[in-house]
Amino acid sequence: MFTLNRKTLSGSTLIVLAILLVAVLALVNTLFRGARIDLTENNLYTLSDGTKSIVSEIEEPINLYFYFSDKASADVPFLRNYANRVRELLEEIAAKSKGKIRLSVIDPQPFSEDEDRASEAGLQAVPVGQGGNSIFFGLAGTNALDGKAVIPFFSPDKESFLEYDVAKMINGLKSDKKIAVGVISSLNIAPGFDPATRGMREGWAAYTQLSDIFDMRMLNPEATTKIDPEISTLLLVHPKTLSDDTLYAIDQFVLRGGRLMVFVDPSGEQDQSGADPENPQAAMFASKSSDLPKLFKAWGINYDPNQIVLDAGNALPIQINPAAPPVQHLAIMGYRKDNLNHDEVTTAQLDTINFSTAGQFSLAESSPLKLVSLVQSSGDAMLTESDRIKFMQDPSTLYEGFKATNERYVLAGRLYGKLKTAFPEKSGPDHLAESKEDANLVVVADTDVLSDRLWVQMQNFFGQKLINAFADNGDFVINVVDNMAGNSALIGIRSRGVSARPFTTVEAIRRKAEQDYRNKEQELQQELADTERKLNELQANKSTDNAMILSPEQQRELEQFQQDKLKIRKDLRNVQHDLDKDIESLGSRLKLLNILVLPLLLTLAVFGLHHFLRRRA
Amino acid sequence: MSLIRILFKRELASYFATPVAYVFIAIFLVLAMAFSFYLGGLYERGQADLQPFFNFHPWMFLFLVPAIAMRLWAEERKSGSIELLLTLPVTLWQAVFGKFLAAWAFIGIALLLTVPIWITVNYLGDPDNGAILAGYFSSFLMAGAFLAVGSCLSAVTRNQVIAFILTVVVCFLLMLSGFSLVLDFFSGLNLPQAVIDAIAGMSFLTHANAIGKGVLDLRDILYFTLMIAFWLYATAIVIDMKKAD
Repeated sequence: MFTLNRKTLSGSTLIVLAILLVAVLALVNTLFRGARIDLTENNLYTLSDGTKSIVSEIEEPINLYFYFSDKASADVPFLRNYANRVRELLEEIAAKSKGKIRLSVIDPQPFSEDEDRASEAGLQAVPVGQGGNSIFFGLAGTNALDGKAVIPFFSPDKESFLEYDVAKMINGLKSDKKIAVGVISSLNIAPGFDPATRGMREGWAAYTQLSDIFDMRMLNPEATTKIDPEISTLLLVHPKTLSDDTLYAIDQFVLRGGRLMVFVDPSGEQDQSGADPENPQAAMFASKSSDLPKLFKAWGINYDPNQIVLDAGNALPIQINPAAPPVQHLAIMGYRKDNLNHDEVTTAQLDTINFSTAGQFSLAESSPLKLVSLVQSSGDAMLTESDRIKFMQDPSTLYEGFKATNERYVLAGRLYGKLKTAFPEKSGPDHLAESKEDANLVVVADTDVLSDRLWVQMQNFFGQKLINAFADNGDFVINVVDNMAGNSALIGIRSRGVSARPFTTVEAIRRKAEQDYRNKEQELQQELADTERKLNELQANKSTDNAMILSPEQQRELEQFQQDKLKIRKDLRNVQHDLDKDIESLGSRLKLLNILVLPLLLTLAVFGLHHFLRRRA
Repeated sequence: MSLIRILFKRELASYFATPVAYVFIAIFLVLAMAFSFYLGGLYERGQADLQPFFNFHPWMFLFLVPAIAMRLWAEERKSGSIELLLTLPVTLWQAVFGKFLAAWAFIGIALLLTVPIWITVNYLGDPDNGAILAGYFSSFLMAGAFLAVGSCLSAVTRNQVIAFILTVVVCFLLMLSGFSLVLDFFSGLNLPQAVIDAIAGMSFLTHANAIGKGVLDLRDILYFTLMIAFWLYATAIVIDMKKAD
């Protein structure tokens, strides 16, 4: 028999406790994965509901390979930060997938098999940093059905769409069937037989590009009474002669949750209606506008097929007469970054979209929908009758009576919300009176935006057709259809804020200082030029009068000028030198305040407060 | 509970009764600011966040918190006032907890007084204030963990200097265990990944960094809570063991 003394008991208790602590901490680490509160303003570290629902629907396992050149990127900290963020997002997604997503993080070393595999998967090696090291920073994915997808490089300037891009890739890997997209069009956008030339007609470039990605199905505008349930996205281009049955089919399609893209146009230049070989005038007088009055009215969308937008802020120069300079055409507009919505994934990465004789949309007050603009005119714009375009010879006549309204018109927009049917009188077993979930629509007030002449040049290269795009109209259409045809959860993933936050105050000071510098520089340059000119004059006078001898006055003046010149040069150097002075002095003031003044004041304040409280007590 | 509150109040008031407290606060503030502005380049890097400020907190706490913690028990033992304290109608646990809370609150006050730097970045740009709040929270939790370690080691000896050095060393080890330097060494030994993860998981730094990003992860909060609880319990055991000495 022996008794443990108190000390050994306590000592061993401590050791047991320490081991227990390590074990419990390890357990906690695995048990409470993902239990977190995100305090960042843009919820940078929280998956959106859209991504969660996409991930939770995965049936067959998906393998993701995240390649990041860890060692090679040692001296590029900003890229490493972003890589960390990407990796955390992927880990979070994998954790939410209940084991359906298998994530491998790979650091491809130079000349290794991993590097070969990365290149093979389609990743881009990007040379970064001074060492000229090539860095792999991308994601490759495979599914059980030999499906492959890749994000070649995670570009930090696309950070706000990181989650969308990854979710889209995963969504694409979930099945390998091409998504069916229905098309109802009164224009000949698809390839087919052309009765006029009795030959085959090629489809529009935008359509050709779409059919590479999607299973495009042309539907009859007059005889479609029901839209195939396989079709989840419908493209409606220049609707003119839709039967009531077709309209009803579209109405029900949208209420069922089908995604609809409508292209209407007050003046469709590709509209051949009225073309009659017997009467060439007929086509000129035929209406070239399209509208969807019944459905637009029910949805509360205001659109006037008789009005077009004139936009002086974005008018494109058009060459009418080869001998004269090009004319700004107020109705043919090139929309750039300022007019495209940066927060929408479909337009954020685009540079230019060209429009021609476009209309505009707004929402009626009674509308149940919300409108998010995708393309907006500048404020230097107005509306005018579309008839003015019809017989117009000279586009400069559009300037007559032009008066900017300062309103920014919506030329293309995304709509969402709960809808009611436009056919309340109908009934039936499948009839829906209102939509169960939010309907998703995209409306574009121009059909020419799809036509080749606004965005591509076709080249024949040894029988091979080359598409040379000069605007992003095609990408815009593909982005929208891609976004609409995707999982509805995908549409919901908004862009996130970027984590960079510059010092706005300092930037403002810098901008102001630069402005001041430019002004001062110009002023001094002018003075310098004047002085030099005077000096030259003096010299010139001197040589004609008495070439060799300088009068004492001249001598003085010459010296004065030379001194002025030196002084101005010095001033200019000082101005340049002072450029950052304001910023530096603000920095010094802030440092002094933060490092010395405030700490001492605050310490004194605590001292005072303590004594005050003690005296009161 | 009210006993803890009384003890807490008495202890906290006693901090401010001596000039040491004010010297400590002044040093803490000046150092924190000087580090963030000069070593961290807070102004020059032009980003409206407090990353350079929080980055130096672990290193400052490494020396400043043990300085506060060293007198928690060592002084009481040296002056013999511990006998008096333990004869009061407070349990040992209440005494340990009350003293700890008072010291923690004192550090919290010092931390609160860094508010000018928060105002500064809000003046300079548009920072993510949620992330900054999380930064302060993680900094405070980490200080608590350092303090709990110091509390225990201060109970081990009656010499304050020894208590200080011991605390610095133990805290330093706990901090380092998350560094790639240490982890590389362990992975060089071909230990199983789980063991290496467990070692990394013991680090103050990894957990504080995770919170500082703006995400309150239950795992990180539990880590600090368990750490504090363990070291405080150890304090009680050590005092109990040493009672006889």
